[in-house]
Amino acid sequence: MRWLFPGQEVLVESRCLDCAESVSVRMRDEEMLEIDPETAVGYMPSPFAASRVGSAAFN
Amino acid sequence: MNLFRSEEHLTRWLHHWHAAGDYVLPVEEWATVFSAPTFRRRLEPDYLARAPEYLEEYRRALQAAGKSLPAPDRILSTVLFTDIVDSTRHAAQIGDSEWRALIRRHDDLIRGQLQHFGGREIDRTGDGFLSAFQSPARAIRCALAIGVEVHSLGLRVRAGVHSGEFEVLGDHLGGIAVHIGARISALAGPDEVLVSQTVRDAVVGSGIAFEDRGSHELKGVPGEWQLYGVAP
Repeated sequence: MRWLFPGQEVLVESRCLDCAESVSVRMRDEEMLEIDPETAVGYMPSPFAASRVGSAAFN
Repeated sequence: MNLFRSEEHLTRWLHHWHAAGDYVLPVEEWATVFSAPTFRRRLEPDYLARAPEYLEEYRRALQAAGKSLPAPDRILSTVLFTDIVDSTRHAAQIGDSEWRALIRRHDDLIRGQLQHFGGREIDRTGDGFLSAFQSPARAIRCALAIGVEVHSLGLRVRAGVHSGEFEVLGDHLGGIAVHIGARISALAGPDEVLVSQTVRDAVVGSGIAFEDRGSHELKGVPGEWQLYGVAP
């Protein structure tokens, strides 16, 4: 968020992809102000991960 | 980034979606990862086109969070670079609007030839194309066809072909072999298809004839490179 909203407090309200219950994150730059629930985790599919190499472009 | 209420929820979700790459972190650690300067590049309009250049930065940002990227897959392939000769002068002569229309026709023509010869468009390089082929002979024949066809648009192209091992990075090709292909293309003259010795050796028996263009240094690439022009 530092790059998009420098110095501003940002609230991200989302849904868990598994159960659709709410997940929210309040932060400023890279400082985490509040995470609900505290056990929340993030998963980032990498564009360079093994699942994406050897794509159809290079058959 | 996808959010989950806990690692248990994520594990359940991954059970149904077998994606590789275990980039799972607590949310606060992702915030630290995303503060790395490399992620600022995502705001740049050409980020996707240049993503392979940023791979090393990206790798370092993930390493700082205790994650690592898988070693890139490597494939044997052939790249063809084409570039319009004197494009700046041409554009200045006919004006921006007409030039844009001409480039659209050029692009259509090249894509048609790629389809005909079984090539795949990988990237745009200014007024040129980077494409990949399974067969070096097909790449050469495609380059020759493009060279002839663009004359109908009043254009001339230079082309370079190189075969080697490339890193597969998402939908891009990377590695030194791409740079070699680009350097070879830059040395080609108008209407010329210039190839590396690797390509020449690989197509023996294809009926394609070559003319020796001598030994060259390719900027940033170690060693001397023997290059050959394809005889028309």
